[in-house]
Amino acid sequence: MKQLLQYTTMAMLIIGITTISACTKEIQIDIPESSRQVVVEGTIENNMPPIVILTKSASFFSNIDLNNLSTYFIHGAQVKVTADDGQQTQLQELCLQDLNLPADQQAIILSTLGFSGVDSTQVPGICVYTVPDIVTYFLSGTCSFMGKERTAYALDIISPGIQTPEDSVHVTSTTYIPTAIGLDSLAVRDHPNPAYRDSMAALYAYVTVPDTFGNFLRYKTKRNNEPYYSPLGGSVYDDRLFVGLTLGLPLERGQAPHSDFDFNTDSYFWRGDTVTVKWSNIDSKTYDFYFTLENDGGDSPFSSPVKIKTNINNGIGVWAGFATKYYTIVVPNQ
Amino acid sequence: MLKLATLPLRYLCIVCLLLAATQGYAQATHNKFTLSGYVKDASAGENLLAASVYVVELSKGATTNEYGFYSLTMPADTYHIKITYVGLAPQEKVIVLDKDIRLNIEMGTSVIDKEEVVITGEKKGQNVESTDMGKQEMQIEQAKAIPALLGEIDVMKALQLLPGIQGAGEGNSGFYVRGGGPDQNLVLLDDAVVYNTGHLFGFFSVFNSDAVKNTTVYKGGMPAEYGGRISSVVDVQMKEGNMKKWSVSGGLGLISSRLTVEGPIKKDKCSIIVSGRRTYIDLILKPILPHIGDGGFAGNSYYFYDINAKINYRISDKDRIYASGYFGRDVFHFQDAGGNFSFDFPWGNTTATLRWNHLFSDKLFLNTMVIYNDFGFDAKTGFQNVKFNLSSKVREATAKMDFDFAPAIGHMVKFGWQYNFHIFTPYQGSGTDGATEFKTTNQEKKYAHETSVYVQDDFDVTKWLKMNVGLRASLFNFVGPYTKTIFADNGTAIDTVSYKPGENIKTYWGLEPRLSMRFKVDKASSIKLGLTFNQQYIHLVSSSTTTLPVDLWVPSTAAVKPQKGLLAALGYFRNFKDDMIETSIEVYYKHLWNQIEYGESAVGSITADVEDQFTYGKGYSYGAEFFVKKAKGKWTGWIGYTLAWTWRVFPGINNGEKFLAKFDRRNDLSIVNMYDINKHWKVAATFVFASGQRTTLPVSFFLNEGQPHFVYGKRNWYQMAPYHRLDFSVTYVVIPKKKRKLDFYSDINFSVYNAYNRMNPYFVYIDPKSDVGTADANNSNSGFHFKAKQASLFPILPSITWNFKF
Repeated sequence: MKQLLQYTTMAMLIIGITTISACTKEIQIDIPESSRQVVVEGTIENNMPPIVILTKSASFFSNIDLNNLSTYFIHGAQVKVTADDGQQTQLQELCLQDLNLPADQQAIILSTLGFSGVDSTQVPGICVYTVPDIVTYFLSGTCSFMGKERTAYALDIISPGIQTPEDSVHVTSTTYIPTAIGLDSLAVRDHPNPAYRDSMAALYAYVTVPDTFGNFLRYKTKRNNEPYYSPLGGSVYDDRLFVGLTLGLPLERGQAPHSDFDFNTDSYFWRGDTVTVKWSNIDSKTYDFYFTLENDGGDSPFSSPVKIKTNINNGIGVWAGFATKYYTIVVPNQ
Repeated sequence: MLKLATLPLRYLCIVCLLLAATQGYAQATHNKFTLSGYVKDASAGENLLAASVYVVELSKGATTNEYGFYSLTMPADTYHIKITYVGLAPQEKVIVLDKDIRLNIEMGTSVIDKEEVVITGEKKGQNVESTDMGKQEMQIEQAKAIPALLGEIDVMKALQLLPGIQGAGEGNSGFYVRGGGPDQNLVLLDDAVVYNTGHLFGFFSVFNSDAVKNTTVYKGGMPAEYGGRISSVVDVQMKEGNMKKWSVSGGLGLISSRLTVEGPIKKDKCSIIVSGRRTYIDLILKPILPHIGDGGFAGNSYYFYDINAKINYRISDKDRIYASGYFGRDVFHFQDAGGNFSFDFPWGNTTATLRWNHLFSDKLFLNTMVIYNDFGFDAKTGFQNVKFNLSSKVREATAKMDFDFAPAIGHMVKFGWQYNFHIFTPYQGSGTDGATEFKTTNQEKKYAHETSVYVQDDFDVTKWLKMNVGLRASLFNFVGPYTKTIFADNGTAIDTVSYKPGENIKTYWGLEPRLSMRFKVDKASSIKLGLTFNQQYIHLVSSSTTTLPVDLWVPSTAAVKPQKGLLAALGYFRNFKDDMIETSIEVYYKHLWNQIEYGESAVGSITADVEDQFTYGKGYSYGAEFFVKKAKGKWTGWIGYTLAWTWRVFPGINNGEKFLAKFDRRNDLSIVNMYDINKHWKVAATFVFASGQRTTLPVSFFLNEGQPHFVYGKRNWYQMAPYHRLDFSVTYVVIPKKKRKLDFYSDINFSVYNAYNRMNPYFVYIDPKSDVGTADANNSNSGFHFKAKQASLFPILPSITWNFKF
């Protein structure tokens, strides 16, 4: 459904703007000073330990590159996660270069954090806060503190100050991992365009939506050994159109951000690929964050700027709980 | 609290009382007789609105109403009557008023006036004499003389050249009047509300200039006969159709053409006019699109068309009926080359008006109307095997009665009532995946009744003081059937409330006083004061600044309160050189309550009730308007300049701090020039300047999943570069050397829009570059870089149009 609406909007914009003819030029603007904030990118998933990335917001014309990326990470914060059943853990700051992980595992972690194609030895300062025995998790699949369904988790951070390190910032948040409802099945269908039928196919997700409101979803897809990517058209859904229904909807393929949009390939998967779908139920606050994040169209004649909703107190970003199920399917050759 | 059931009855009683009073007054005026009648155009038999009928001996007069009717009750005597109207030969009559006299006037063109174009719809000194503040008439011939984008005459754009009326920008038909929002303007076509006044997202007007006779705009001092909006009224009157002979007129332009056929079904008794227009952008692009890029645009099309039709029948001297309608559509079809995705999106307005004029007596004129109007879209999309329909509509059925009562010269009383039944259909979606059907929740239709009654009198208190005093009372009922599911913050449903058909859900009502006063300083100057209070029960809340077809009109409900506006204005009006030069200075202050905006985090969604995303606040604006007009001679035109501020204060926006509205425009200048060189050649030039529009840009960003996302600064903190533009046009009138049997007129108009090719800002956006994750540390282009860019829309655009009439 979102794809239809996204395509619709895109079609109107394409015809409306490019046909009429617009030209653009770069302009210089004076940006007023704004205070920098603590940015939280925290996730806790069922059967996975919490991972929290702390960064600072950047002034608008900052150029972030590999040489200064590490300066945007917040080091030395006290980060604690407490479950509503009383279990608690103090997260430790771990920097990738200190973990001595194999390159492929480093790459997985980096891609999970959103950085692809980066050699961690070139970026000394990419650090995350997670459980002390994270390596145990990678080796055995378990560790001292893992997310559970139907559990709320509080996040408590004492961060060094942004403007001056001596002034600490106290940041808090809560999230909830709901029940992992999952989908019923995946199915492959032919590409509607015969010209692409040999090389690509559509993937359908068959779902049964609970008959009570309040269920929210986020999905990503992974192609072979690539990272998980969100669909360009948006990764989150609410249930208001589909409550109580059982239906099959076409999945949009996740892609690296800023990929070019192509009607013929975007919602299809290459034949021969092994596709993994990460299907996560989320709470309403997590949905609000990703929904506003993905739908900020900026201030133009066709849209208004969207202030991204956050569930972080005294900061921005998200503390997100995911109830995830994974589904794998091989897209058969023709 | 007034009880709903008795209110219409009470309003009817008020109207009956007023009617009885008129009859009583008529019987009480001894030795006074009434001169009344209709003023029409001799060549076509069209009623003339605002023609002046002036009594020399009394230094007073009247102007004709929109049906060309006037009435003057005076003591028995002999009078010299002067009748004047723009571009037509003035007439003088001597009347011995010893009984009630019906004097119908037919006004013809004169040789003198053809060479000396008079660009004014006012009687001599009307701007000084009348109590009208903020009122402007624009005859269609005036609008046609102004250079237009791609040769497409646009009455709405022409109005925006007047001080106090600002356009919403290039490619946008919305407009703002004295700091009010675009939904606060009541736009009428033959008394039917037009909700969306633009084709193609606002690039072109829905009003076909060949079908329009007259446009009146009230930017302040809105008389009590108008209501439902708080900022302005734009009253567009269609032509009635030539009562004398059949004629065909039209024009062939670069992107659209138009054709009008009008004539008498029975001469001087019944006439008809049908006017159509269609753009052929789709036909022009059809052979080109397959060759653009990879041919992916082939099969896509866009076009718009509109049809105006009107028939009128003069039953007798006392009765006349009119039936008119408008139907316009934009049709957009998109299909990707692979056939995966298709999209059909028609949208547009429909109006239908049935009117009956009845003369009870020489003093009492009644106009009864039944009106239907709607605006909406009905989109169908398909993606693979998923089909989805999305529609939205606002519809209205109206009944109105307006009485004009002229008890004595120097008094013009109007009173009447109006009833509207509204149906609002928000985004209603339904679809199927081939096996299962689904539809939107919480997008129920909303129903409302809106009723009002008014009375006003425009009268001379003394020789130097004239007043227009009016009062409007309005009532709004939001009624069932209606069902709403109330959601908690966590997305679960808390409750579902249901109302039966007709069940009252919420009632609002209010009194709207209107006052304007004119103090005559001397023959050529006056000071005017205006004070009006208005209420508005339906609202347009848009997430964009352009008039999109998906813009949603919503009623006042339990959560959404009526908008209210108070306008105070003071003006000095002065004419020079025997009214050849008209000048005015007006200052105003406007205060607005219950303003509506989308919340800062609102994202347009078809799955949520739109009013759940609103936030409420207030606004205020103030400014000064300067106006100089040369109304007569070969060279005519005007200069209008406005200095103004427009503020908004919303607790839920900008941390509650006041902010300048997006359309705040500190300086706004229009210079319009028209010159008739001779009977063949005419030239015109327009220069506009406006302070840059405001926009909200980000001031910082943060990373999430390795990608940057913006943090926006204060609302509308950034001001774009100023907008300025010069247009000019040259018209050559073809005059046959020999007089022919067929009276064929044609002219060729060549115009240039944006003559010095200024790239005016359309919007400013942020262009992100690169991705730190994939960058090479040694690559100077690596990392995140943001650049601010300005998009512009129209470069220099010449056009040529051929107009004809026979």
